[in-house]
Amino acid sequence: MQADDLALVSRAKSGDAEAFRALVVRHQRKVYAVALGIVKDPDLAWDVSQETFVRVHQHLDDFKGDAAFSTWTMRIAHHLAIDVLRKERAGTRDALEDVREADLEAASDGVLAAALDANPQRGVLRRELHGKITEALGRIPVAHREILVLREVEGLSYEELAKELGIPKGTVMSRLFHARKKMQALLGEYAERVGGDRDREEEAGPPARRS
Amino acid sequence: MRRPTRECALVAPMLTAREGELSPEELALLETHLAGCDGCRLRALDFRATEGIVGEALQAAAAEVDFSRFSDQVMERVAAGAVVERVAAAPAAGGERSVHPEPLDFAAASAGYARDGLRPQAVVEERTREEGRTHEGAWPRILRWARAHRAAAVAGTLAPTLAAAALIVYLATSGTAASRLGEVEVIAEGRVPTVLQTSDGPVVLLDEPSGT
Repeated sequence: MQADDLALVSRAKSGDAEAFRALVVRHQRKVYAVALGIVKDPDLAWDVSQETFVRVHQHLDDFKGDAAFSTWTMRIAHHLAIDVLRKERAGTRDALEDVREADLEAASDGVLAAALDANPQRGVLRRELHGKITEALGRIPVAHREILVLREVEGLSYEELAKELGIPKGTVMSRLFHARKKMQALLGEYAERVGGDRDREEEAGPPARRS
Repeated sequence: MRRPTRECALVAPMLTAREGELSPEELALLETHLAGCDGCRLRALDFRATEGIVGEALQAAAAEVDFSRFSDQVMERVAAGAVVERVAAAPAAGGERSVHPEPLDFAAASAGYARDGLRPQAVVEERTREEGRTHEGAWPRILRWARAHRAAAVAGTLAPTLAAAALIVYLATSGTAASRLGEVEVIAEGRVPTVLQTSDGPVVLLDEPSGT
């Protein structure tokens, strides 16, 4: 995949429009996923994705192949999406990044694990949760959406997140913790309800449950 | 279950780690703590169960979107951008197609440019004729400029090919040096103006960039 990308980039640099189009088609959905995760609005995510590839084309000569083409492209998408939300981000950034004892007191602890791991239909529940997740993303601060998207769509490590966001590793860990905890709290109630219903249905049916 | 302790708060962020991301010291602390703390064990289960679920959800959402027009739109924008870049890089050669506020100056007058600041809401009617050109509806200031630069106008008359490129008119703002770009309408015979919004401000193309 990476080798193919480099070959296409090389052709695109020499003016091969179809090679560039092939790169667009190959990466468009992931770019859109990054943009959507940060800006939330589908139309805005579309625009950010479009602009990402326009910028990629403009700066193609700057791409030296040090990082994967996909990483470079996702970075541009990330920065464009954040630019769009700069005002909102300034207003909602958490003043405190520390994790305190009170942050750990939540009734839903273990609920998601129980619903997703112990439920025989966890695949179905997981898919059902997808819709709730994109909705829940809109209810957490931009800085938390940003780090979740970079971690889970782009797959960045602690070290890469620290570099990309310009924060220390400790802050990466605590911000990621807060982000995931907030998502869990928002999803926990839904998972508990759906998971509980499924459990009762399973109990009423044939003995298909795992021991 | 006991209430979270200071140590719980210390190890909680480590629950987000992937394999190989914690130092040996952090890993040892986490394992020791989890062995004796039910609350953190449950939290660890939740974190493990939901690892990657946001990424999955976003990719699933992206998979449902119709991307059939996406690459076409990108290519159209790239093509339009390439035209703007070429014109900006070589204003004299590309003058027949462009009005751009920055790269042009009076040195281009011999190729038919007139330049000053632009006035918001200005309407420029420009007609190119075989024998030269006239500007209708222009400010007295433009007329004064034309009188003062009669030599350039004559040069334009004597060089029809250059005059044909003379579609760019910048209107004067009031006395200050500050140049403000407002809404400018350019009416040119036989050409369809297209206004592109760029990071440097609006750019007017008098030909369709991709021949559509």
